[in-house]
Amino acid sequence: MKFKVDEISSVITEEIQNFRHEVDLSEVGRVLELGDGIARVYGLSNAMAGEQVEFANGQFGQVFNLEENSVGVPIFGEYLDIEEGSEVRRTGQLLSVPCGEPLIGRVVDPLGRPLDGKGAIETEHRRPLEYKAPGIAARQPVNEPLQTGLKAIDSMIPIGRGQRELIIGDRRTGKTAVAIDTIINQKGGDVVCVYVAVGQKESTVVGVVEKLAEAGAMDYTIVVSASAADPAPLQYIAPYAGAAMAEYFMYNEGRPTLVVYDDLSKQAQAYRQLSLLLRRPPGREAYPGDVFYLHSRLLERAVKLRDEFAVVPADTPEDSIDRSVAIKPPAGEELAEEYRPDNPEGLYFRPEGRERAEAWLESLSDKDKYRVHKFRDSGGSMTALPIIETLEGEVSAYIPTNVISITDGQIYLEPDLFFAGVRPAVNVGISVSRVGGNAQVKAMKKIAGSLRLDLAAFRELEAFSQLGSDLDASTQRQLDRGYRMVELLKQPQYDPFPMEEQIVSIYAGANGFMDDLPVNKVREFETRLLQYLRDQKPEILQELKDTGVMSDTLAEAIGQAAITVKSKMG
Amino acid sequence: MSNTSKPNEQEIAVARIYARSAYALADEQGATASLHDELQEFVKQLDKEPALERFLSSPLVETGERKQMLDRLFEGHMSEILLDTLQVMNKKGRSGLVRALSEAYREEFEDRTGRVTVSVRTAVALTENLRQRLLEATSRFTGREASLMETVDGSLIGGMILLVGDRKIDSSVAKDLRQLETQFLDRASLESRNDNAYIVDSSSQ
Repeated sequence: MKFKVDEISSVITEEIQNFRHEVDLSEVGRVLELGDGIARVYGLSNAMAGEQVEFANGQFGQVFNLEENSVGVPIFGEYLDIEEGSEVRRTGQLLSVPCGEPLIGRVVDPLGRPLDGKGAIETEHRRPLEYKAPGIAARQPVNEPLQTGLKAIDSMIPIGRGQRELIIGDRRTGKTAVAIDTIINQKGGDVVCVYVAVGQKESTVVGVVEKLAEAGAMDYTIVVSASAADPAPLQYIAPYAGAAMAEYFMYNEGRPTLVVYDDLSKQAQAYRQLSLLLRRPPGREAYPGDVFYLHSRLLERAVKLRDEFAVVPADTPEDSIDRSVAIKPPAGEELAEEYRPDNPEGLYFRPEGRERAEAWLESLSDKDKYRVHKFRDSGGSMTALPIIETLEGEVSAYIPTNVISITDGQIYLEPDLFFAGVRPAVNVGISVSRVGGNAQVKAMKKIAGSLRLDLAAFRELEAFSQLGSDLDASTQRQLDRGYRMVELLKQPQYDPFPMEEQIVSIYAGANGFMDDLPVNKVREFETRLLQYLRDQKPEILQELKDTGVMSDTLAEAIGQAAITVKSKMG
Repeated sequence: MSNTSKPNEQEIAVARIYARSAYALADEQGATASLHDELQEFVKQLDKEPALERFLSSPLVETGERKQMLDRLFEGHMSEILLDTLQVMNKKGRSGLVRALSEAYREEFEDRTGRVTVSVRTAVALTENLRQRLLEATSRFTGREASLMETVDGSLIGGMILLVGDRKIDSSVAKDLRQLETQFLDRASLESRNDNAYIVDSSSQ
């Protein structure tokens, strides 16, 4: 190795020549006391709540408590070399994180600093950590499904884009596995995923990152990690940082995003530590009074933004976000109901708006000069999958009840099911999705109804059947169906199913095509059936995928295929 | 316990109550400025006589004894207001806070009379000419009558650092060098990103 000395020295000379002597004007305070990652700072009399400040060792902090003579500042990083009396500088900015395309595939800390050793992240985009959730006008109801690839969830607890679905359960019940499978299932789509690890072991996070990379999921995923070794303030801001990174894609590019917060109980604990050290009064379970707001403001940022369309001149660039290019209806002229835009600026909202805009365009005499345009930054979504860990199934503890009440449904995972081999260990009886049904594919909605009923009847009978031995034929039939359905809903980890294959296997199960098979053959039958369809009848799967409707002919074809496969199994 | 080091904020907060009362009394007699000077003198005396400081702050000395001693030592040698203040503080067990009292009184005095103390750190001692110009400039900057608290600190290398309340004006050479260092690092990362490698593999040449 050899240095090109003359080139280096010429660069250095150039830098020195261009160096301008500038007086540095700043506002400073001094550390009054310091302990456990919290500094009390004297001075900084103009500091704003939430402002970012810089310590003498280069670490950042955030102004939390504004008191009469001092401010309370949690430090986001190494604090052991900060001393009493050392200087603290105002930065005049709120806490923000870098965001944009260069973050994808990276593992970063909650301040956007790389942790994966792949070099600096070059991006000029930043977003504030705390960002107010959009209001009513900017949203639209959930109308598109977000496929998790898990049969038990997509069929009975469907999740829609923009929904907040809680994953709750004891330790080691597969909560993270559900979230990771969901991320892996987004492969090939346009969903940007953010996985936020809060207070976890570094080894666990590495494991997750490796699994994601193996499945090719890091191509569209950002991992934000504040591990158990990181200071509590970093763990507290991690979910907000993850949300801010996803928001960039949602607000600027109109893309769908998925954020997994793993897990919010640890974040609440970090916030409790922070609050107690700042001497904020403790409340129930020693959490501070604003612990509900901690989670509600985070989860409220999950949203389905409304689609915005307009009729624009044909030469408008595809990626225009300038709403003023919209052609307004001529003044004083009332447009017919079916063409009418949603606001006086000529904008059409929601997916239905496109039809009205197109109808208006058709009715224009010089329609060749115009086209219907979808604004690039509209229609994005952020789906949130918060995770909460319970102790001994205690869902009525403070934090679980809070988050249950904030979210649009929850997926319960139970240790009993997990150890009985039912994995994912979803208790479908008490898991719900309050809004996802609207977004479900029609074919899935149709078959899921009977599945739900079958399983409900099965659970009732199962408990009852353990007492007696003599069962009438119809009860026995229902029980047999139940055992097979439970078997069918089992799914190995890292093996998400495409929507159309889920529909086929659940259809086959719910319509009795497996009733005459032994329970331990159910999964083999499923695999063979799907393989047969992929190889021999790909048009069936394709049609299901394209239309999302289970027509009578399709149902018949699937039935035929099931019989063929069964006969081959002997 | 307050010893020779600067009093901390909590101590000043306690002493402020005494400082305000003393100021109000002195104001009635038109002696606020002289009390200010007297307190500054007294603190200088404490620097010279650590024993006096120990006597004032030690919990081993009984309040009664300290009262008599204070009278014997200072009667006729200091203003009545100051002596009374010391006696009241002694009675309340706060006689160890004289430095904090002086600091709190200075803040109170400056606040009420529109003065401000500006801390100046320079690499070499200020010349008289510079001092005058600095006083003028800081008075103009703050809109108050400024007085300087000078410190010589060789680690600045050149230039100076002014501290006016919370505001810090840094024009030192040390800061310039620090900035230059970050600029070099920025440039280095830029160059390495653009693949303008200044390190070449010698075997390829």
